[in-house]
Parts: sequence; C-alpha cells; structure tokens
Amino acid sequence: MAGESSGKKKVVEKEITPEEWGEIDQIIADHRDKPGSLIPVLQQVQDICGFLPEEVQNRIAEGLDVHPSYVYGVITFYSFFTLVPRGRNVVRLCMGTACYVQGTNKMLGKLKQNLGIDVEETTEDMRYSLETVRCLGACGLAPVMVVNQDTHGLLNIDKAIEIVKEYE
Amino acid sequence: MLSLTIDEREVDVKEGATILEAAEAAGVYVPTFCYHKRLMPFGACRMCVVEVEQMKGRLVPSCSTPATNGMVIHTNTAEVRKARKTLLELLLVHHPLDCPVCDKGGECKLQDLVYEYELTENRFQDSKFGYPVDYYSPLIERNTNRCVLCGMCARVCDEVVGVAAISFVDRGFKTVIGTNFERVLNCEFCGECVNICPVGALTDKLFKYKARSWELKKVNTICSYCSTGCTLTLGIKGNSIYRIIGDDTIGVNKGSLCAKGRFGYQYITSPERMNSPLIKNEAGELVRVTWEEALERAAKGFTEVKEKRGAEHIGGICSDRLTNEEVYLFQKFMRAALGTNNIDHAGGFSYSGLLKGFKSSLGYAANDITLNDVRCADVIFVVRSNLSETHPVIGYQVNMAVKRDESQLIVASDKTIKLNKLAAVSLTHKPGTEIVLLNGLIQAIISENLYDKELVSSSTEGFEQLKAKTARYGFDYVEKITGIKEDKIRETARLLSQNKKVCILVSAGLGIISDDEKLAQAVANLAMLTGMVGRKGSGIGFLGEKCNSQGTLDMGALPHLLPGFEEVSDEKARNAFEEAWKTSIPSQPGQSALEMFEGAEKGSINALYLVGENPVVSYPDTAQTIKALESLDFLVVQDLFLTPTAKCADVVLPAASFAEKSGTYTNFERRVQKLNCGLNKLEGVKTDLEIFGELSLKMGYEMNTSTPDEVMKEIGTLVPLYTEVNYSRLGEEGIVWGSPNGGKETTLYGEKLSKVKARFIPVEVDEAMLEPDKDYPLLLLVGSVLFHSGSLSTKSPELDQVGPGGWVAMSMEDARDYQLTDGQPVFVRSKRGEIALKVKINKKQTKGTVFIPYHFESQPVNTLTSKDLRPTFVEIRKG
Repeated sequence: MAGESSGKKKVVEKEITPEEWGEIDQIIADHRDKPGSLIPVLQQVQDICGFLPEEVQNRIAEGLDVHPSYVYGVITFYSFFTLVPRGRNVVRLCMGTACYVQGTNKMLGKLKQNLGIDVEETTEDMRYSLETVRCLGACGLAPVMVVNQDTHGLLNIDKAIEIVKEYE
Repeated sequence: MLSLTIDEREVDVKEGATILEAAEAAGVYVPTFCYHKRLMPFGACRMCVVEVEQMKGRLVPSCSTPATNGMVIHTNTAEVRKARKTLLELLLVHHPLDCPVCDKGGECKLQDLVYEYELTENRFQDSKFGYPVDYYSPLIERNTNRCVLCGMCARVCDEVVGVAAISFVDRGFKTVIGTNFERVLNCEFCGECVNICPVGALTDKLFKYKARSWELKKVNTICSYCSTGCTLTLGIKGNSIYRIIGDDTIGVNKGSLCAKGRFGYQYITSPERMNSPLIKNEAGELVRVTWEEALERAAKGFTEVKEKRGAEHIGGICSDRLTNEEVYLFQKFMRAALGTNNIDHAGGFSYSGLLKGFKSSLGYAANDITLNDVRCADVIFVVRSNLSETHPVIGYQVNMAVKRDESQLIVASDKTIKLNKLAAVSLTHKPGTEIVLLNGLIQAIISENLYDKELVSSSTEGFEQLKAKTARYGFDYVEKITGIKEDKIRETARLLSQNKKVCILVSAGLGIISDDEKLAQAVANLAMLTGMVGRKGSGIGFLGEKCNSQGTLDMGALPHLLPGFEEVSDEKARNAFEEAWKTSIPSQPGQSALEMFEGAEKGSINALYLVGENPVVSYPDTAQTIKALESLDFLVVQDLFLTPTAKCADVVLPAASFAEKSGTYTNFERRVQKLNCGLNKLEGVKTDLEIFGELSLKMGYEMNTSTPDEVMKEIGTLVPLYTEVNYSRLGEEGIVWGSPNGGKETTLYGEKLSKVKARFIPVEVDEAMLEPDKDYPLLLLVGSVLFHSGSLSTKSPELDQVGPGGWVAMSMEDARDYQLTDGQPVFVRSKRGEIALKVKINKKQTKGTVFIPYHFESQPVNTLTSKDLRPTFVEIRKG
C-alpha cells in the first residue's frame, strides 16, 4: 500500500476491556493519597492499555481528584504518553540536526512508504507505529533510529528497512 | 536585609526577594508578561530581563533571579531594550492585530509595550495560527490566537483557585493554553483567568462589544454577596455596570473574586426589578402608587396595629445585606418610632446563633481573626464549612496557604468537599456529629495533657466542668457516633495544640439541626483549651453567609441586643440610647424571627415589616410561613424584587441595590469598609436609608438620615466599638473595629484573653435526633452552592446559567439502591411537603443524605423543612 497521507490521521480503534478497567482502578487506588502521583499512574495505566484515551483520563482525573484538563496537559507534554493506540513496535526516527543532515528525512519518507502510514500513525495490523524525535543524544551514531528500546545507528535507508522488518 | 543598586538607586530588600521585587521597591519599572505578585515566579516570557554587573555576559530574568547583596543592576540599557524589542517582534509574528475589535484594547500589556518600544515594523513574518475560538463556554471566551503563553491563567487557576481547569497543552511550537480535548470550560467560572490575562486571549463574555475600557468609570465598592468583604471595581458607563474586575492593589481580596462577585451583578439592571411602590387594593391586587401614598399607607397600617393592639404586636426582620447605617436606622425605627424590641435578621439563623455561643464563651459576638491570618496559619481547621463554595475567596487563601506555605489543613465535614484534597487530615464524619467530634478532640487534648495550662488556669473559668463533661467522649465512643478513628483524632489534637498559628473556620448556614450556638461554644472550648484565642495570628473565624452578617449584629438587629451588643434589659445601656433618641425603649427583649412567625399564626404578632427578607423562599416550613403571613393584619415588604413574600404584602416598597448607594459593610474580620455609590438609583426606587427616614417621619418620629456619613456619626457617639469608624478615615483598607493602632492589629480579646472573661461552657447534643424515620430514610441537607448566595443571585441570569437549580444531590450508593440515574425526575417528600426535582448523582455526597440548595424559588426546598429546626428526613420516589 502506498503511503499517501490524508488530512486526518488514521486511528486504530481499541476498547478498554473490563479487566483493564479493574487494573486501572487498582493503580488509581494505590496512588490516591500520594502527592505527585499523576505521572506514575499515567505510566502504569499506559503500560496496561497501551494508550490513554479520554475516558481513561477522566477516570484518572476523578480518582486522583485533579481536573481532566490538568491530566490532558501532562499527557500532551510528554511524548511517551499517547492518546491513540500504538503498535507493538514503535519506530522513532531522529530528526535532530546531525541525523537530519545524514539523511533521516529521506529515510523517513521511505519508511512511511514501506509501512503505509504517516508519522504518529499505526499500521492496521498494530505491528508498527512511526514517530519522530528531536534528538536522541547519540549524534556520533547519526543517522539514528530507535525501535522500542533498541538504538540503531550509522544507518542507511536499506539497513533501516531491514531492521524494522525484524520486529514482529 | 540586602542592599543593592538598581538604575543608580539604592534599595534595601528582605532576604529572598527577587530582582524584580527589589526594582518595584526602588520604584523602577520593569515590563513583564508572566509575572504576577499573587503567583510563583515562572520565568517564561523573558520580558523582564535586566543587566547585572556581577553577572556579565548574559541578560538575567529579574522575576526569577534572587537579589544578592551589593548587586548593581541596569534595567533599561540598549542591550536590554533590544532583547525586549526582539521578544515583542517574535510575539507579533503570530499575534493577530485585531486590536480594534479586541475587548482588551486600551488595557492590553502587549499593546502598551509595543507602543512603548515603538515597534513599527517586524523583521519576522509568518502566517497567523488560525486556532478556533471557544465561543461556547459560558461567561468566558477563549481566543488562543491572541495568547502570549505567559501561563498566568493556568497558574492562577491552579495556584490560587485550586481548580486547574485550563492548562498548557502540547509542547514546543504547538503549545497552547487549553482544556482537555478542547472541551468547553468546566470550572468555577470565577473569571480569575480573565482578570489576569495580559492580552485578549481570555475575555469576559458579558463585556464583549459593550464598551471600550477607557470609557468606563471605575468605582471601587464592596461586594454584596458573602461576608469576605471583597473590593469590587465596577466599570460604569452611562448608568450601567458593564463589568466587574478585581484590582490587585486594594481590598482584603487583593484582586481575587469569585463567580458571584464578578459575574453576579446583572440583577441590578434586571427588568424584573420593581420601580414603583405598590399597595394592595380592596380586590386584593397590588397596584402601583406614588411614594407618598405608599408611605402614608405603611405609616397608617403600623399606627393602627400599634394603637389597637400595642407595639409589642409589631415585628421587624431585616436582611443582613443592608448597610450598617441602614440596619442601625431600621432597629432605631422599630425601637424608637414603633416602640418594640421585636427585631431580628435573616431568620435569626446560623450566624447569630454561632455568635451568640461565642459571646457567652468569649464575651464578644465577633471574630478575632483576619484573612491574612488564615493565609499565614500553620494549621487551618475547617469545621462544617464548605468555604470553597460559600466563601470562595477565603478558599483561595486556604489553597495558597497549603500549597505554597505548607500549612496543615484539617477538614471536618459530613461529605467530601473541594478542600479534602488539600487536607493533611480528613475527618469525614457522620452528618450532624460535629459537636461529638469536637468533644472527642477536647477529651483527647485534656487526657494527653496537650492543653495550654497557663492560659486555662490564668484566664478562663469552668475548666473542671468541661473536663468532667467531656470525659465520656473516649475514642471508642466518638468513633461509634462520628465514624472517626482514634488515630485521626490524636493527630488532629496534636496538630491543634502543638502549633503556634492555628485558625478554626466555621461557616454559617450549613447546620442540619439548630446547634449553631452549641457548635460555637464547642469550638470556643477547643480554642481556649489550645490557647489559640488571645494569640496574634490565631483564632476562630465564623463565616457569615451575607456581606453584612457581622455588622447587622453590631448594629443590634436582634431582639435582646442594642447596637454595640448592649443588653436591652440593661437599664444603664438602655438609658443612654433613650436619651440620645429622646424616647423610651421597652426593657423586655423582643421576639426572634421564628417566634414572630409562630406568633403571627397565633395572633400575638399582627404586623410585620420585612426588609430585604424573603421568608417564603428562605425560611423553613414554607406552609407555616405563608399561613403566618396571611394571618397578619398588616405586612410591609421592602425589596428589590416582587418576591413571593412581597406578593403577600399590603405595602411593597422598592429599594436600591448595593451599587446605587453608599454606606458601610462589616466583614467577617470586623473590618468596616465603605461602599461607594456607582450608579444613580433606578427611577422610582429609594435607598433603604431614605425609606426608613421618610417612613419614620410619617410616624411622627424624626431620624437624622441626611447621609450615611451623618448616620455613622450618630452610631459613633452611641456605640463605642464604632467610635473610630469615621468616613473621613475609612480608606481602602477599612477599619477593623475594636483593634488597637487604628486597625493594624487585631487582638480583640487581648493577649492571653486579657480583655475578656472567658468561660468554658460544656455542650452536648441529643444524638437520637439523627436517627432516621423508617418511612423517611434520607437525611436532608439544605445549604448554599458555589454560584449562589441567598435568593438574590438567582436574579442574575449569568449565575443561573452556570449554576441552575432544580436538582437534588444524592450519593452513588443511594442512587443505585433507588435505581435512579443522573437527571431523572423524582419527588422528594418529607412529613411536611413534597417537591419535584431532578436527580444529580454526586460521588462526594455521603450515603444516607441528600442535598438541596435553598436559593431557588422554583425549587422550594423549605416546603420540606420545619421551624423546630430538628433534622428533616425525606424519602425519594421516581417522578
């Protein structure tokens, strides 16, 4: 499938299961009276659901007695929180200066084409999400790509595509 | 102290001050966007950069850099100006230049600075953002395109108000101030964000396209809603109020306001306001008449009842929204012109009950605490007070005290309230058990030897009785009755007795049973025991519901007290007033409001004069209230609106609103503050002051009412507490009566209670009263909500929009048991009546209780309640 990018981002629908709600409520209950617990709660909840949709945010806001706008503000600030489901493998391409001049921009175009998705989108089979980051602090290895927790440096386009293929 | 030099000026500042604060102290102007003295330094806008000789090579943000000794600072060098100018250029890349249609025009910081820095062209170009404007939120319009991201709105909402309904959303270039998923505002609508926004990103919808800011005349006056006594700045054009703002340089509130104060002024220009006196004709209809006819009729009616039955058959009840001068004249009219002590106010509920208790314990029916004491307290103990709703601006102070200065907050409440999230100790007890809880605390403090032995032995009496009476309130017993566990009681006892600055705050108007007087005594017991009274910075704050709750007591709108808390039965005190008023005053105390209503039904009261009171809506047991009013021979009602009570009257007199008169209000701190008249009176109305004067003259008794100033002079000669209150001395700070150094200090009771006779009065409650009936299983709680105060606020459509009535709040558990869903119509029934409402499920409501606000005519909750002031139990069935 060609990677044409439409105006609206493709979002894969995912429902929160009753079991997940149970776990979410438990996490909230464990942190209820501890100050500064919003970020740990968001991290743990995202580990369970994979993303933080509005109804989950509202549940957390109510449980921790903070305003939903505040929760939303925190979530949208940190790039590791996501409002939409992410794929099993998150591919992050560095767009920092060093990587950019080494061609990550072209690499990104190729990856988009290959995966059939735009940046901040997820493939329909939930295998990949594609993201960009500003600098990974590994400029010596430029161009750099991070897949999940693994850092891959000194790439070229073909190598990048090969690496991505290895992630199921 | 630190000394530094700013622009060649030497200045000394306290350790910890920032460069900006030092500049302010030196009188040097430094421009800012993101700095506000009510907020924590943020350092976001970089407008306030300065050069510091000791920190060469870079520009320093003055708002967030601490001043150090010997610093030499330049605030207006070429380099500084260049940096600021570049910043302004960058802001203007995206800021739309729609100043001609922007409501901020003329008072916009960006506009002013662009002008000051002569920014005629911009080196940078880009397209504007084109974000959608939020036209849909009530009262507040949000236009992100104009935002400069100073973050003051989000910070004031979090740091001061404690809501955080708007927040920085996204990051980097995409950052905006927004709400969750761009929804409409869901907040307290206090408008603090609008007030603080330096540009036109957040604007007041009521003000939109109404007037340019420079056309407005600014008049500072005192808010007429709650007893905090906030200073409002009215923006007036022609003879209308176009907006209300807070001025952060003046008033106890220092610019903070709540939704009621800021947006609740539209009742003043409501088309429903009466503009002519009315009298009841023979057909029983109210018809418009001239003032002359109406006053004639009123005087004749009172005279007839007085001559036929005697003055003791006449009663008068006033609102605690009248000014001090008006209350004084009202009681003078009742006592001198009519010759009766049947005088009361606001139904005689709550505040006077609380303060009656306080007077018996500590000698004064008044608080000895200021708002600043609350802000600076080490420990704040909130008892039966949802003050974030009833007194929001005091709530802001509590919020700041806890969040910024780590005050310890203890909340004793029968449901979870906004304050609970700040609380170090939450004492969520069973409804109506506050006194048991307080007795439990007293027992714990005595048994653990935590009390202030020196104060107790030197300055108080009755300790042994208190000890004996509270001995039975052991931890197990208290837990059984209140549901509060031993460890929480111990911790509270420790916090209260081992800290220096401790404040207890209690609200009026939330009582389930008529235990206000006892509650006051129990609180006073606790305060004396821990030594928190008679110590500067500590004390008890009873928060009255209305703007002049305290002044109404001071001015003697009570059946047994003359102005200045002098007993009517005290011959010497009475003689002083008799001499000044050239008349005699009955020596027997009169009847209270509820006694008058009882008397009206029985025939011992035949005429009533109700001023600003609407008992049909706000007094318990509406059926009895109406019956009592119908039994009267003669009823005069004086109000702004033709209320359900006014509809029963023989004579209706239209009165002026707070914005149309001058006078003084006394807030909960005992601070007497001056109302400044902003508007000409609506044609056809008179101020209460004028009406009392003219009516009295018609009755053949002349009172000097030429101006409020003159009345205050008379008060000053008769009431020692008000001798210092003189209009020429009433500045923007007001005067706190009974305090030394012209109101600078507030130790009414004296250090270590040296000025009062302090007594422990042990109190107990009948716990069996709280047992529900099997047919009526739910306990009814009646009270105030955030967006309303009394029934007046319901006449402001804007407040009704954000705080509509027509609902009954119940807990999730009860809703589940009754199989009810949110918004479902139901009937709420008590032994006395039934009303139709919609269910509002509130997760914070305690199981077994329901809550109904009392403000709304359309939702007459008082048809359910009873005048014996015992708890009301109700049942709910589907509608």
